[in-house]
Amino acid sequence: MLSRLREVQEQKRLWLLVVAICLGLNLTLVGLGVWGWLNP
Amino acid sequence: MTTEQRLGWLQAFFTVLVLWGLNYVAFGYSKTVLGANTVVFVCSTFASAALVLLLAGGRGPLVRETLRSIDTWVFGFILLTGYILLMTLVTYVSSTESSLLQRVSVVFGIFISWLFFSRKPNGLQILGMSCVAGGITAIFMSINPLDQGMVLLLLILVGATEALRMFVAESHRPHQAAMSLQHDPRAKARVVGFVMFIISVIFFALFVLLSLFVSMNGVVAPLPLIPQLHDFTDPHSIFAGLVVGGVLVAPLRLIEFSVTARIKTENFLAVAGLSSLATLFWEWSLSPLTGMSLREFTSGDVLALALVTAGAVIAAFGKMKQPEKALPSEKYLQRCPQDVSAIEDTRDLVAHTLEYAEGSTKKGAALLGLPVEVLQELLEDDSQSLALQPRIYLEVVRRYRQNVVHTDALTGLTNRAAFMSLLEGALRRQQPCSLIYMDLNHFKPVNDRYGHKAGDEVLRTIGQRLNSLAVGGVVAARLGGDEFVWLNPGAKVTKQLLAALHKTISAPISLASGVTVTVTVSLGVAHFPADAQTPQDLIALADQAMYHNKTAD
Repeated sequence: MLSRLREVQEQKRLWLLVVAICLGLNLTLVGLGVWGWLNP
Repeated sequence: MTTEQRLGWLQAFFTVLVLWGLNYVAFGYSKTVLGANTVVFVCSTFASAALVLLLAGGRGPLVRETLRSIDTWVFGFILLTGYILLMTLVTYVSSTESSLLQRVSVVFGIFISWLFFSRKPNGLQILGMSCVAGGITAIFMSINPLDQGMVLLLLILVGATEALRMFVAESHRPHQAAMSLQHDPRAKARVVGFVMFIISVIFFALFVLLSLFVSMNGVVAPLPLIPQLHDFTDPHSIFAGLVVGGVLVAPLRLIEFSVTARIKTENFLAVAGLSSLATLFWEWSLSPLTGMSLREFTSGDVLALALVTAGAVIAAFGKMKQPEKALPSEKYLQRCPQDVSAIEDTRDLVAHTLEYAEGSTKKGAALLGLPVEVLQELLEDDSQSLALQPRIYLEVVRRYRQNVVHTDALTGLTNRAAFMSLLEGALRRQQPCSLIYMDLNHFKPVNDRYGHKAGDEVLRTIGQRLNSLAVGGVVAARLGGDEFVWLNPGAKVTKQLLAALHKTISAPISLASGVTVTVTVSLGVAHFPADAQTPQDLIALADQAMYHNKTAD
């Protein structure tokens, strides 16, 4: 039971980490696009 | 055709005719009208597709498994290599030509499935494949002879990587596991999301580093596809890519994984042969919106397009009309698992069970808890490519241990090895128990007079009788020959029990030949912990007591 709970927690942490990195990548691209748009 | 296969074919046509077609048009529009940089555009599509899929997949199982699976990394590596090769190919030929040349993957798909997955193509598939090869040859002949060598190399590599990528998707283990999670429909999106995440990060990092390297060292890019640093701030490339990635690439990759698993890669690649025609259709119907001028075709292009499309249609419909002979037991069996030892393990387990069941598939299937057809399928598997599905394997092994490994084949009682381990366990736990040793009298004459078959019948009947008496934690076992043991929980054995055992065993036995025989039994009892401390001593004491009683009789 405990190991199952730990696994769920680990899954949650890993998912959050990956989504955060992915969001970061997308926001970086958006930021670069906006910067390029403002400074053609 | 099963519902699952029908759904797979529908998804395949939808993916190729709608998603791929629109994706190519969006790519062409971004490149020609918006002037997007290819690499930055692709980078953005991957990043947003990964994010959309990750959000759609949500939290849940298979997260770590996907990241750790070698299949994910191989898929990513092949996808990136394929993209780079395709982008290089486009520099040598027109986009129409490259989209047709890419269809060489139909040929690769059929060959790979034949060689590595034992899926033999039918006549129509071979005809379709030849048509596609003819179309590709027509294009190839029209190419500048100076470029032909390079184009041929790229053509082979592009076709092979596209086909291999799809095969990896088909046999991607975390995705297969996700498909079997009926209660978690988002698992598929989660797995594909993680795959896309890895690809997008590597793709972005790789090309940013390459363009940094090129700009810092002033090296002329060895390949025209490496972007300049300022391309990474091009809003058209980025925003068009992000939109296309979220809207088209995310569902496209998700469905690609499911389709290859449902209808098999070579069939999906055959349907993919229609993508050139689909792209032309969408270019034509969306031209008032996009303002893109329609392509001009040479007669060679038209001939190649006709051949490739016709070939794709023949190969796909040939397979739809004559679908792969579905395993009657797809729920239980898988063909060509990645873990090759699974085939050997399954075959050993089934062979041993059938030997135990004296060759009866019905009995063997009942022992393993599998349908008879599954065992039949495994028996007829001459190509030795079938294995039990991983998700039911453990349950089958549990039954195998319980019903085959631990059981005496003749009497159905616990066998010697299993009995010894049970007795050891009971003594280790200091569980008080009594052991009754039983040896049949007058059994040898039955064997001598009526033969071994009759002797076996007697043993089988006694086994059945003991089994019906053994309730409430009692273990009845056959140690070998005509020797049986009875392990009773509790430190005492009542006289009634001994009388019942005597009576049960000594009751007359009617043989199949019509003869009635009677055997009697001598019993000896030993108790734990009062009489002995080890299993061997306990058995030896009970044996001695039995011998004493036998000689006293």
